[in-house]
Amino acid sequence: MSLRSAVPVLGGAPDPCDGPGSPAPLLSIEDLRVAFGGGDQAVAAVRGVSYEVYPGETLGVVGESGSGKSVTVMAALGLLTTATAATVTGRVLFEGQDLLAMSAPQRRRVLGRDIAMVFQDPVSALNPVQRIGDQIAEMIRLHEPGVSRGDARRRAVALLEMVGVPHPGVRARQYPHEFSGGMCQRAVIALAIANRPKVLIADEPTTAVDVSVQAQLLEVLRTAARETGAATVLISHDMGVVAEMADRVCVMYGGRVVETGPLARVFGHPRHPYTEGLLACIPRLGDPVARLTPIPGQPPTPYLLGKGCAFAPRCAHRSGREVCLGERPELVVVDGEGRGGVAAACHFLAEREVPGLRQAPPAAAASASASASAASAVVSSPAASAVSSSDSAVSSPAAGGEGREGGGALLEVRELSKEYPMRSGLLGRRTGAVRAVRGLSLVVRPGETVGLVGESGCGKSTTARLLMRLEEPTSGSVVFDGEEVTGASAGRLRELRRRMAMVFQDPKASLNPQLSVGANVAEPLRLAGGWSRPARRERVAELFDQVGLARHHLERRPSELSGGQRQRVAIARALALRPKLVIMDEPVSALDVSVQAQVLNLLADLKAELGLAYLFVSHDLSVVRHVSDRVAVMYLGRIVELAGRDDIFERPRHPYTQALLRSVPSAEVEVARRGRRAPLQGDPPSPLNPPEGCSFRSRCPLAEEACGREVPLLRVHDGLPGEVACHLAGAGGTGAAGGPAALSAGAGW
Amino acid sequence: MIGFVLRRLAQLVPVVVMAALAVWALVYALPGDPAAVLGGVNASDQEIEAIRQRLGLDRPVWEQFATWLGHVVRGDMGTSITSGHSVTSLLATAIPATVQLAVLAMIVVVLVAVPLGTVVALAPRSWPGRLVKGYLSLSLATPPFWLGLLLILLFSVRWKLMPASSRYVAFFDDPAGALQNSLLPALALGVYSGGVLARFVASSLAEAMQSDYVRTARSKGASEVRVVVRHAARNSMLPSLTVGALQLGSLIGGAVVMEVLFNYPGVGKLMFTSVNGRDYASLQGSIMFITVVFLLLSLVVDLLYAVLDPRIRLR
Amino acid sequence: MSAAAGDARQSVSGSGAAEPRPGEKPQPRPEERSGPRPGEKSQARPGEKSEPRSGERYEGKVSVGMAVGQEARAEGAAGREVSSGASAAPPGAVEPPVRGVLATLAHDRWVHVMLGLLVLLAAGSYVLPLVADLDYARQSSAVLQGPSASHWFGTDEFGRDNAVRVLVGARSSLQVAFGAALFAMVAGVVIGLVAGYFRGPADAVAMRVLDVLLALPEVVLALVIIAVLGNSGLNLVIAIGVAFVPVFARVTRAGVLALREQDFVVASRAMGARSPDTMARTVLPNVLGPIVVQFVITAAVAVVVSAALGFLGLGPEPPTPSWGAMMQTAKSYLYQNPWYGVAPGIALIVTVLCLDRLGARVRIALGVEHSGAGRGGRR
Repeated sequence: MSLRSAVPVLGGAPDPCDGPGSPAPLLSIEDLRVAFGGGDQAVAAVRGVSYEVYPGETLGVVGESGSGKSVTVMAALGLLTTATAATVTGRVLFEGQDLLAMSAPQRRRVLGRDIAMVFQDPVSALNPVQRIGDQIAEMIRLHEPGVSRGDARRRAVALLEMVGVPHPGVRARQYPHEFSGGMCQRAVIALAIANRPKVLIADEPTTAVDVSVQAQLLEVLRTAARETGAATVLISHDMGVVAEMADRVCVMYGGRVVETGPLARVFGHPRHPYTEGLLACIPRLGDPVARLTPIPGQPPTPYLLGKGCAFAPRCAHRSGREVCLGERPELVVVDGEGRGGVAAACHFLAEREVPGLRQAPPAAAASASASASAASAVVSSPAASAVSSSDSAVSSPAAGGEGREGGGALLEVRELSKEYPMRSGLLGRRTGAVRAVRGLSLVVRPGETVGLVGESGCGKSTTARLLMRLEEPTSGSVVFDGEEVTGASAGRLRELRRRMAMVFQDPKASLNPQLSVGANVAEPLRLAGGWSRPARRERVAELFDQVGLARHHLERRPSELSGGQRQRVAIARALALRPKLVIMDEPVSALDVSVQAQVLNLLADLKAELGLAYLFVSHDLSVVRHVSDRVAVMYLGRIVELAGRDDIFERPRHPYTQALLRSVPSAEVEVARRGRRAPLQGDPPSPLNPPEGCSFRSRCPLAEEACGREVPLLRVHDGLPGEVACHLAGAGGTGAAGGPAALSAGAGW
Repeated sequence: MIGFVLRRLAQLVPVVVMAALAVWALVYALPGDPAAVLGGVNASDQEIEAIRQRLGLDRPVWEQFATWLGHVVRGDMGTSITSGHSVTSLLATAIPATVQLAVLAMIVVVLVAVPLGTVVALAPRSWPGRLVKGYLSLSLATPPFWLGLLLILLFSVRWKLMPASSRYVAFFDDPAGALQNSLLPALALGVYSGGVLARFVASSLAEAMQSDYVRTARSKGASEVRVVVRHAARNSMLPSLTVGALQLGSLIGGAVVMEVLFNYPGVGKLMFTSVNGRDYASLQGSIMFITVVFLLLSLVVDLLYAVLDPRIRLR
Repeated sequence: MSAAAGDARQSVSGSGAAEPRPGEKPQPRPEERSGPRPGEKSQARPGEKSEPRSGERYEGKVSVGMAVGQEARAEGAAGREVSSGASAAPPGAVEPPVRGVLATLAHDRWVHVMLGLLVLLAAGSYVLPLVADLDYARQSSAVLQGPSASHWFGTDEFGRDNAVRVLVGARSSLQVAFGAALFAMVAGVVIGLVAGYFRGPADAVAMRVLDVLLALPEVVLALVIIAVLGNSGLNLVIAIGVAFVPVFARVTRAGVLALREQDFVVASRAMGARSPDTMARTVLPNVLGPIVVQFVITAAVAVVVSAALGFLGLGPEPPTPSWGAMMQTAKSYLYQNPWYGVAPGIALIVTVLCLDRLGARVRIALGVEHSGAGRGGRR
């Protein structure tokens, strides 16, 4: 298929969409079941999973938390931690042999040699007290005892070089704590491919890293698979990552496979209501919609699953039919056969094939049509770009007037800085400082949402805390509602804090676990004083209605609610005193995608209803695009670009913004298949010792010598909307044109 | 490395001075004239006057402390009123006895803790694992002096193998005699502390066995023995080591009861007799010794940590 | 006694966890600490997956299954998730709500047994001599006899009944032990809470002073304090209690340090709460778990320490029996009545065992990790 030609990276591999007659699977999991605990209390985490991987292909396994996607492979390879009493049944065939039936020594010969793993958290996956090179050498010598220590070490260095670790000779002698997260993951990949395995299993390999590093790692994975010819199983919750990497996908929900098939067919024309919902509910960077279509309800927990379809309680398609609850739908092939076939597990597949009944979201429909006309799946699909441009036309009126001066500022930040002194030695002498925030200025007007994006370590969360003086700024001023926050007395500060509110990333951590959720929401009222008990109770009930929580939840403990419900509680608490400004610090990052959409919609509704202003801090560009009116992009403690939402996302002008946008994986097959090349190399520099002049200089593809001399100021260039802090922004006369344009070409959504 | 040791030693100084201050203040906290307290009830006026002179009791308080500290640093800790000897000479005979007892006990501790802890960590649900866990609970509840009493009852009273009252025989002079005299108290102390340490060995090894890097090692196809020895053990050793070294400290200090039980002439016995005899000079001396040993041990632990754990740099 | 230092003074959760390792300078990496990273998302995920096992309840699920999951957790973090990247709960892991813990304990049959035995012992030592004709001071001519039907544990050198003396001896042991644990808890928690919440030089000084206290084994410390204060019941309580103040202070401080940066504590400040309000309502209830566990364990060790002091001749005045004193006297009559010292020892073991196991069950119910590091991470 022509899709393949668009992905030259995988060129060497045999075409996976051959249909019947393709070679036998390399690894196949058959009816795998995993239960934890024993007897009546056994919890079935995996409930009959089957999938197979063919030589040379990449199988993407997608699912939310609790879907059993990781447990499946861990159980298949016998890597479940021994202390957990787990019962594993089924078959795991590798080259015809059942891994589960093998003796331990036999299995050990396969593990590491034929099947290798890349783990989610690379830093803890490496032995902290063993040198990186030795860990790789151990892997080699375990399976080739004849190799000498020195040879194994030399091979380890070569492997590190192959996965892009700079100075591999030196790095091989270092310990994991001397590596950054991204470098650790490269080392883990090097370890995994050391013996040229036939199957490479990567379990959420990029979840713990920033987008720019994620792009690099995925490229390394692709290279590794290509060099070794290994078939890859890529487990991820991120639809974008899977769309970019996989040939075939396997969608898991509630410990079962609900849909499987070639990527383009599954993502382009989802058969199972869950797949469809999942694709519809993620905010898309290239294709903004006014309102997301969330999947209602909460992701399942293994011990609450009944006999029937795990998705039934949340399914929009079920319409109350009993069969969904009472009977488990089997995975049936709907289209095609073998490798090229699509199979789904739903009682009403036939019904869903009727076009009239399908309620495909515009994006999915567009991409479906795009993939149907297979020929168009080249670099710029006319259909897709038509949709995205029409969409941006729709959303631009809403963004009208944004980014212009005028209107009283609700929050005005001027030259805000925060340094954390580094002390060392006997007397705690100050030897340096982590410069987390460096001269940041920002304005939030009443009723608007300002997005603050950046990678980890860029100072965005510190900024959020500085605004409420939860940390003392080193210098600069914050004025809220006409009153100075910096320099306010303790009493005034408490008063001010009641007029703004904050929502944190992890609702599990931000609610007091000892209080009922009702009491948690009532806390600000109690602290503010002047609220009688009945008044508080009434207000809390009102807030519960407002955020869509049932009143019978009032007496529950936070731990008794699910993640999404908890975040609703946290939002209710923030709104208790009717603040004008809510500072959101990654409010949806800890939530599953299907729940994320619910919360984002809630935030949009509340804003419209109450006229709130949000400062929305996030690392997730798609989410920021969805919620913001204006966006500030941060890099190493400074804002590098500040502009209206559409200006930033359609016409990014700072090289960092452009690179960041290019780094984001897209769930749209065509976009993903354009073969995202990692636009940025290396890790962000340490805020302890940022580069002189422009901080982005060290990673900027356009950097010139002049960039190191002076710090670029955030300013308007050539009368174009938005402000950019780049020496080169004005150079070409038209900002986005000229030099940076070369970079942004690939990002034309 | 040397710089690190020196720096850590320098950091210990204020703590030692503070401990010394506390020890010194001890005498002042007692009702009555410190000189009379130190001199004891039977001291003559001249003796008390001499002590007063020596301690500079007519001078300001801080100067008094400095004077006393100066004496201590020079090895002069005053005179024991119960024996009439200098405290320094008393300590000089008691310290080797206690150190020998503690070292023997420590050997017992390691022999008990490592195998038992490993069994519990690796096979908590098997019958040996359960058995050992039961034993550890029991051993933790059994006070060492009662165990000592039982040992005396069996080995001295019933079988007459060992003396019920031990002398100090230096190990290098007469290994058999030393063992005969020190083995029972060492056993009683060591079995108990070994139980304590075994729990730590078990929990830290079990934790290491659950770690991601152990899973990685398994995914490499490494054998279980290799996984335990090469990967889990080295990592889990770190916390156990700390507890182990501190156990040694508590063995030395805490041998008081055991030394009294076995009538063994160590620092603990010295301390006990000085409390009973209101011999405050000796009491000050023994407390200083115990404190310093403890602090030095914590320094040794830090060093070992730095050697074993690459994450800790010697700066 | 001394070596008991091992358990009570080092044991409970993460006393070192929140503190930098020796030689390791605290590196202020603000984003790392407080800022969300994409990585944290991944940390949160496995946690949610493990919900049924980690003792968290979901939509009113009954807690029968919990105990099993938590037992597993006590076995060495088995309850942690199986799947990828599932590391331990974050250092500041927060206590489950008290309600749930009590419910778990109320269903724990080991707790019933242990508590039952302790209550029986306490009630027996106070009430039984009142209702039955048992007098611990009544002398007879039948001295130093072995166990018999009339004297279950034989008689002592004055012909007094050892069984009665052992029973009544429980009074002093329990009083001193619980008194000392209470004293240590109140003092230690106040110090730890204030030091940990406000940090600064006062914290540094307090911790240094406590380090010195911690350097002395509790029997030694108690000996010294009694040498200064004199021997009395209250002084004994203080003398033993002081030795455990540093442990409570450290456990509390470690918990507070971990909690300080937790979002819900920050949220409390962000809502405009005053420091005392935040400390009392938000921080304290969430560090209570390890403190309660420490209390029970401390009581267990204090029983041993009080017996050790009794053995050294410091304890209640002679006619009043105490286990330590009985064992001391027994040593003089090893040849006449070998059983003399056995009975108080067994009583002691049973008491300590009960308290220790009770502590373990509470710890399991609270989900407090038994930290292998102990004091390892200090300073």
